[in-house]
Amino acid sequence: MIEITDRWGLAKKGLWDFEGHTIKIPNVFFLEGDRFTPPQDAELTLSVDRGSLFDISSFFIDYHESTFPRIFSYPGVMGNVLVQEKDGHEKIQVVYHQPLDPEAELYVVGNAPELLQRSRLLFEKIIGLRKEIDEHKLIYVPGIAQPQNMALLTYLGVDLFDSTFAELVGSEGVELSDWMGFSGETEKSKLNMLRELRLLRKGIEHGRIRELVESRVSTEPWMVEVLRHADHEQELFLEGVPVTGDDVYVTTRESLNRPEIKRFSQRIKSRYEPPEREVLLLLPCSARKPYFRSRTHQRIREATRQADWTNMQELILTSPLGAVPRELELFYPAQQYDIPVSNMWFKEEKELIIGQLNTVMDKGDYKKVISHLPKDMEFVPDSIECINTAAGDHPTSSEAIDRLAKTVKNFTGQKKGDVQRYLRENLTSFARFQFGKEGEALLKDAEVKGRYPRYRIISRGKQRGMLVPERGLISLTMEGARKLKEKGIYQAQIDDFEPKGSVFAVGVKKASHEIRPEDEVMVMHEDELRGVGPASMSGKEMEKANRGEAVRLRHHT
Amino acid sequence: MFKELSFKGFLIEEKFIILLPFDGPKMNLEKHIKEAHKKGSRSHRKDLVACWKEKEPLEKEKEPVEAFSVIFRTRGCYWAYASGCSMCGYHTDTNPNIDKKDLEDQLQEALSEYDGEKIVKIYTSGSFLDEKELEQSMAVDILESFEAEKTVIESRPGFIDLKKVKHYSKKVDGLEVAIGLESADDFVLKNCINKGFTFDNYDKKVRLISELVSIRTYLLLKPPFLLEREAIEDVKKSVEKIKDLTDVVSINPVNVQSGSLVEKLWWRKNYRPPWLWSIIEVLKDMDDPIVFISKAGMGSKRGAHNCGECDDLIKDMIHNFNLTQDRSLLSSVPDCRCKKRWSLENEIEPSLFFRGTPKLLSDRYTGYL
Repeated sequence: MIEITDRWGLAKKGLWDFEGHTIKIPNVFFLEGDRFTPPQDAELTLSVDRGSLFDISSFFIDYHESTFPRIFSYPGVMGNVLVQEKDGHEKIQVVYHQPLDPEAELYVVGNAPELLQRSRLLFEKIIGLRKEIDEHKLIYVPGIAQPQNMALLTYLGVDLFDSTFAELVGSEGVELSDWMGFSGETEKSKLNMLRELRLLRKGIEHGRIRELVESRVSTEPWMVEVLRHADHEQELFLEGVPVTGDDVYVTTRESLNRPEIKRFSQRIKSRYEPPEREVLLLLPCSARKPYFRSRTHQRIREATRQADWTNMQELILTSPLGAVPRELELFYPAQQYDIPVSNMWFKEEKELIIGQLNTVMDKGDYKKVISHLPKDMEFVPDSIECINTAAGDHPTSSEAIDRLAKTVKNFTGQKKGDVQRYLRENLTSFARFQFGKEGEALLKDAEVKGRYPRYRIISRGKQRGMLVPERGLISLTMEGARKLKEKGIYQAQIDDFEPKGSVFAVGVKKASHEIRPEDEVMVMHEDELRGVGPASMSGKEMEKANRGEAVRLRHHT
Repeated sequence: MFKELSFKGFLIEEKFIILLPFDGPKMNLEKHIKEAHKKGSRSHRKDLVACWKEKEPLEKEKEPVEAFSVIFRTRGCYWAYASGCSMCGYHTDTNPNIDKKDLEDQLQEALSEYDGEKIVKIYTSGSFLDEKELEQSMAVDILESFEAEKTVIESRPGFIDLKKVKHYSKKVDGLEVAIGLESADDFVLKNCINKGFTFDNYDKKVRLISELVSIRTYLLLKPPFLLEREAIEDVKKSVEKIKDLTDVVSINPVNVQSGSLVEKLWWRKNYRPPWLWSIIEVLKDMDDPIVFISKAGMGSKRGAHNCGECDDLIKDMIHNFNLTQDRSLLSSVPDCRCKKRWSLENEIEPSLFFRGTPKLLSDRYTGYL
């Protein structure tokens, strides 16, 4: 049995119950035998010449029955046609080209040494296997692990590694590190693997594994290739990426294609519908997040207070998210990301910003567009029809602020619009971004109360939900969940019981496939709402997993 | 041990699984062998392939005697036309257009080199007993032309029949029939070599003629798709199985022949010829039959080799062993640091779940040193 406790994309941390032992995942099999001594802190060993929990013996030599099947298969260049297996634990299958055994819990990738030859092959082989097996099943890639590539392999969904490569090159006097190989001892390589393993686990736990991956892949071109393949086919990864999280540091070219960043810009295209407003105000991003807390944004806000700001849509232009509508500034990763600011923009970043801006402008019906952007962002007013109120000055300079105040007043008029309507529209927009079009129902016949950002959605004196800035999401009450339930979205179906505390995956019969970790989920028994709270895993995983927490209930019947 | 399945698909029987693909494993191996064969074309020459002299022990004599070896160029092995063996590139020496006249010329060429050596070994890059390669009359002419105390001819078991062998045995003194069995394990014969016959075929034919002639059996050290340690075990087990059937065992460590499937695998680092250490290991506990080790290609990248530093020394020892059959020579093999590497690789190989070479992995790192 496998229990996943933390996940990010396809990377996961958890526990594997095997023959009465609990094995931490991810982990490293350290070779053990006459010639191999595992390091003192090794948690898992693999015996090559004697019986132990995990051992291997050859297909042709009758040593003993081993944990891993004794197997014969040709190398990949032969087309992998023949596979014959003897013995082996029923939960372990070595996979060449034969049909997968659904009962297995650990799948060993056969002919793995060939994968180091071509990055595309490595990606396709591992992802191909990942697509065919359940999220919580384990993958072991023998022979190819190095401290340097463990993060990348983990990111692709590999759970188990071994010390073979370290032993092999160690015999030639090479020490492996998280950067490159140099003259040294095998013992050091093995310690470096253990150290990397610890970082992997921390990375997954804190939702920061992507940054570890980016730093490690940059040490060898083939690994960057693999990551690019992965970013190109992101759907599979996105399922396990939470909708809220820790800091997102955008430091490399590859960071621009992170799944959660792509998800944000994707949702701008698919889910975002701007409130009806006549004026669009384009603003720069700020180092301080969420944006509204920054000095720049506060000064700009003051400058627009004299005008009818309820008739004005604010849009923050930034890399790598492209464009962040003001009402979505709390949505992950808009308040978590950080980029190096050098007042220099790459071509890709410029294209991204203009692209997202055009998407928003196409969706809204704006009579006027005001650009209040710094000099380094003049590529924006240069490429669209607008009034440039910064006009080359710093956006917070008194000249620029004066021009902004006058222009906004001109365009929107001074007569203050309906503030409640403005707030409701903003929160409706947020709910749509979080739940999809169906989320609009949450704001129907409701009022927005409270002080930004802790807005509460109230209907007939009852609270439906609240915008929680720490999560960057609307948290639902039972009342809110009841309002949304007939829409049939973000639901987990359970048997007829009264859930309290947590709902475990084993109890989930069906779950909406749009559910991502941390999404608000309505726990239902048939048409009856039983509770509501954040998901711990994706909807698909809830359906398949037998262990682990699926939904952490905030409210229940 | 394995069930032969004639139907397509797969069968799961508790913890014993056999998976057979749609075109069958043999077809797959054969397909690759044929593809490799296409690259090494047959010869247009009509002369002898080769002849050479070397020393070899002869039972009756105390000292090793001179042995004369000759390879006739014939149309070649029937099996190489029908299918082929994974390690064999001999078809590149053969010519489909050889006629009787050419063979007569070749015999004259051979005789001009022959100086009455006491042992004569006659090869054809195929089967001496295959009448498509050598008509009976030609075969008899060849046999009668030499005056050796011992004459060795080679054939696949399929061409061995009692009448023919009886006939030939009367034409020369001390006829020895050599058979390239390669391995006594049918799984290896079928799936690693594609030999086209089984151990049982060999066994039956040997029992049929062993009263009449002496038997020499060739074994292959390290067919493709065997790990180093499996290859050592395979030869040891094979010797154990045939030691009462054969008079002489000749172990051929694979050398990478051009035009063979093994060569294709070798280029892709999916094959490494056996280590010399493996040869020593094979000979170490073996004391029954007379054993020769073929030295073809030994010490080169295409032949059995070690690190390059100790190769010459060990090659010499193997040479001396061939002549003297003195096993005590083997215990005096000097240690080299590559021996550690050899035993480490032997232990690592099974854990790779890859029937290529660990070199494929370690080569990823040489750039940094």
